[in-house]
Order: sequence, then structure tokens, then C-alpha cells
Amino acid sequence: MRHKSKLQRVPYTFVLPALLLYLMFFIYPSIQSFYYALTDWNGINPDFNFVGMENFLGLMDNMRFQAAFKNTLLYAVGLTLGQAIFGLLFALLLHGGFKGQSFFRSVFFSPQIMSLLAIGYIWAYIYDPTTGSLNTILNSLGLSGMAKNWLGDLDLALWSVIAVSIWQGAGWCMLIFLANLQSVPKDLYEAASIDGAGTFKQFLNVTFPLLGPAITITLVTGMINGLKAFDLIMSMTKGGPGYATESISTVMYDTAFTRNLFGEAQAMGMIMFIVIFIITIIQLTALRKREVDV
Amino acid sequence: MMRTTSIWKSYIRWAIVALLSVFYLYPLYMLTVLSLKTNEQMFASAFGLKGGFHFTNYVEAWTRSNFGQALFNSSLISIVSVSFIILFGAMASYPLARRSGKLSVLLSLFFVVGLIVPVQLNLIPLFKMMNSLQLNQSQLGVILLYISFGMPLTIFLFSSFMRSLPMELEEAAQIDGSSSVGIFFKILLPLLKPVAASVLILQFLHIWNDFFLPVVFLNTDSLRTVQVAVYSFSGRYSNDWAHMFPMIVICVAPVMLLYIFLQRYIISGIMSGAVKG
Repeated sequence: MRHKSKLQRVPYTFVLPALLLYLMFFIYPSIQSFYYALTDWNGINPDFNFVGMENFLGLMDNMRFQAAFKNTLLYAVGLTLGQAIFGLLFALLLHGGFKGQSFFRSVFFSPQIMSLLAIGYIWAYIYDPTTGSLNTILNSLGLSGMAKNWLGDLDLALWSVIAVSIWQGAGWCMLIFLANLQSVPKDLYEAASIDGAGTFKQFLNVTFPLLGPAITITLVTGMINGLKAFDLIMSMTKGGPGYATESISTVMYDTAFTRNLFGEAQAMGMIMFIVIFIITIIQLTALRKREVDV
Repeated sequence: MMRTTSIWKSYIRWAIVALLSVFYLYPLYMLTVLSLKTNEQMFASAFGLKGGFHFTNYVEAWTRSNFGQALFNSSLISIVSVSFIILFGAMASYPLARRSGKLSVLLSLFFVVGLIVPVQLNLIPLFKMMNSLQLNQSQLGVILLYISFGMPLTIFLFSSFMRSLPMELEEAAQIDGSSSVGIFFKILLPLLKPVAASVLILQFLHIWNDFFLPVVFLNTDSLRTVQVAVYSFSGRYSNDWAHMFPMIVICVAPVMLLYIFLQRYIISGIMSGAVKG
């Protein structure tokens, strides 16, 4: 809705700097990427061959990539659900005149402003089986049985990394939920409590259904970020032990820049894009529908 | 009766929040304390209260890693990129917000699509392009990439804000004979301050903290950013913690200080960026 304006038409020349850069460094390489995924380019040699679907077929029996693919999905789902649940918990704890709200809000949010690489190193140290604080604290509490080789254990390593990603992302979700909670009309709660609904029932029947927009944002961006996982893994485990914590990004990076298989790496990048694209579309349609129903 | 239960409830709530915040404050505490310890002192000391503090870690790590250069590189890249992101983003948003034709809708959509494309898709062709333009291992190259990648979110934020601004000021300026360039710089740009602040914060944090682009395009000693410099201290199987922690502190400190003083703006800036979903 725009009222009729006497304003002269703003010339499109204003778009040019942004558009030219965007076309050149974003759109053009995106289109080219479809081509490179079908070649055997090694990153250096100017001559390379068109190999059809070979890169993609090769990935089907590449154990390392398959481990990475599975890990990436687990990581993305774990991160997305974990950070949304903890974010919602933080928001509910701090919501509604909690003393010290702004201080604790800043505390829970603080990992958001730090680099994931730095966070990864800090937690890698905390997780260290012999010198790390986690096991030291567990031992001094007499809980030596719970002390583990957090990043060295094949079954545990991925979950230890996911836990840190949740720790990092929960504060962001908390903010989104807090903003959404502020928009829930107070008289709805009054009506519910007159009807005799307890705190838990109020949450389930009044609050939760109205959190649709926040849930959509946190789940969609959580998955996109999770599927790109790179920094945390590089600083915590470098993909190890074995392939236990490899992600699509870490394998792709290694495939291109240590093994010089750029075509194969591009096929991985392509698969990641397709997965992100499909999951985002599914999530947006499903979640938006839910928002409207409410 | 009601009153006592609600007081108890608020105590329990406070206790839970306090306990949870320990999980958030402890890593920062540990980082700061351990950055002042030698490798031997770190052993089995979760709270780091034993032994003295050694600022020599900082001195050693700083000189061994050329960290001053890395700080300069990170600052240069972040500041230049963010300035152009704001300028080009605001310029592009002007016609997109003020015109209603099909082309304007189409262009807006074209930029928004960029929000779901991961860098990983573009990486290989970009690597080739940067090589042939001689922009690989160059700060200019990475700056151009950050500006381009920053456009989708920035244009989305600027143009939605601009649409909410009344047009009367621009109309008045036009009657006074101002050109659209004059209107943009003298009237519109100053009005954009609140969103520009959000964009500045979001993009600065993103670029300062980014590891993926610099590790690919700026991995030589003299060009690397703080993130790559920290990474260069890590080994395949073990890390040189006594030298890494001081570097991590220096890499986190600038954004932490900004956060402590400007947290209100940073939080609201990031909130407005969150609507991109």
C-alpha cells in the first residue's frame, strides 16, 4: 500500500554497484558451480575434462563423505532442536519481570558475538580428558564414572560438538522467543487463569500456539546453519576421531585444498546446497501452514 | 499461602537461572585465567587459582605469531567491507523501496534468494575466478566477496525500513530542486541510522568472526586474519594451549568490549536481523 506520490522516479542506477558485485561474485559462480561439479578440475591445471556424473557417483561409495553426510544431518537436527528447546527455556525463565533479566539475557547471549573457532578451542580444552576442567570437576565431585574422553570417543565425539553448538546458539533463540513472548496479549493469560488453568496448562494452551513465528525462524535458520557446520569442528576435532565428526564442509575443504580434487569438492558443495534448499522449502511450507492455523 | 508459594517459585527460578549462567560464565573465566598460565600450571586445575600469572605468554605468542599484523588485517577488512556494505546496500534499496514496478519486485526477490545459498556452493568457481583476477591471497579480493555476500540481508533490511519512512521529506526536497542523488545523501541516508547500526553490528561481527573465507583466500603469514592466526597455533593432534589462549583472548576481546558497552544496541541490532527467516 503506497499512497500516490509526486516523487520523481528514483533511477535504477542506484542499484548498479550492489547488483554488479552480486552478479559477479555471487550469482555467476553459483551458476558456474553446476558445471564444475561435472568436471575433474584439480584446482591448478587450466585443462580439465568433463566427467558427467562421475563425481556424484563416486560420492555414493565414498565412506568418508557418507559419514560426513550422516553427521551433518545429525548435527543440524541436534543443533536446531537443542538450541530451540534451551532458547525457549531461557526465554520462559527470564520472561515477565524477572529481576536481573537484562544481565542474564546478556550472559546467555554472549557466545553469539564470539567466533565459533574461539568457542571451539575453549571447549576443546574443557573437554580434554586429562587436563580439561570437565573431567577435573567430575572427579573432584566424586563422579569419576561420568568422566569421559569427550572428543576422543567414536560414539561420543559428535554429541560433544553438538552440545557446544547448542550452548552457542541457545542465546540467539532465547532472544527470538523473548521478542515473540512480548507480543502475546496479557489478557489471554488472565482469561486462562480465570478458567483455572495452571502455569503449565497456560503455557501449553496459550503461549505455545502463539510462538509460531519464533519457532519458524529458529528452526529454519538453525537447520541452514547446522548444515554448513565447519568452524566448530575444525577447532574441536578436525573431523576425528576417524570420520566421527566430519561434516560436509570439512570434507569438502579437505578434498579441495589438501587433495586437490576440486570437481569432487564441488559435487559435495552442490549436494549441500540441494539439501539446504529442500529442507528450507519443506520447513517453510509446513511451519507457515501451522502459523496460519493458529 | 499463595504468597509464600510464589516467593518460593521465584527463588527456584532464580537458582535455575544462576546455575545455567555458570555454564556461560565459566568458559570465559577459564579462558582469561588460563591465558596467564604456563602449560604445566594448567594441569588439572579447573579454577586456575594455583600458581602465579604469566603475562609472558602474551608477549611470546604475540611475537611468534605476528598477531599485530593479523589484528590490523582483520580490522582493515572488517571496516572497509562494512562501510561499503552499508553504502551500496542503502543505495540499492532506494529505488527498490521507492518504485513499485515489476522490475523493482523482481530485483528485490533476486537479492533475497541469496539468503539460502551457502558459500560452499560458490567456493570452487570463486577460487578459480579469484586466481584469474589475481585476487587470491589479496585483501581486496576478500573485501569484494564480503560486500557481495552482504548484499542480500542488507538490502532486505534497508528496503523494508525505507518503505516505512514517509515520503514527504523527499517530496519537499524535490520541490526545492534537489536531485535524487542529493536527496539520497542529504535526506535519506541520515534517516537510515537505526538500520545502518543493525547492519553495521551484524556484518562487523560476521566478518570479524568469519573463518571460512580467510582460511581459503588469506592463508599467508602477512595477510591472515585473527581467526586464521589462532588456527595456525593448533596442531593435528595437540594444541599449544599456553600460546593459543592469549591469542584467543586478543581475538575475542575487541568484540567482547564492544558487547559490554553497547549490548543494548547489539542485541536489538541482531534481533532486527533475525527477521530474515
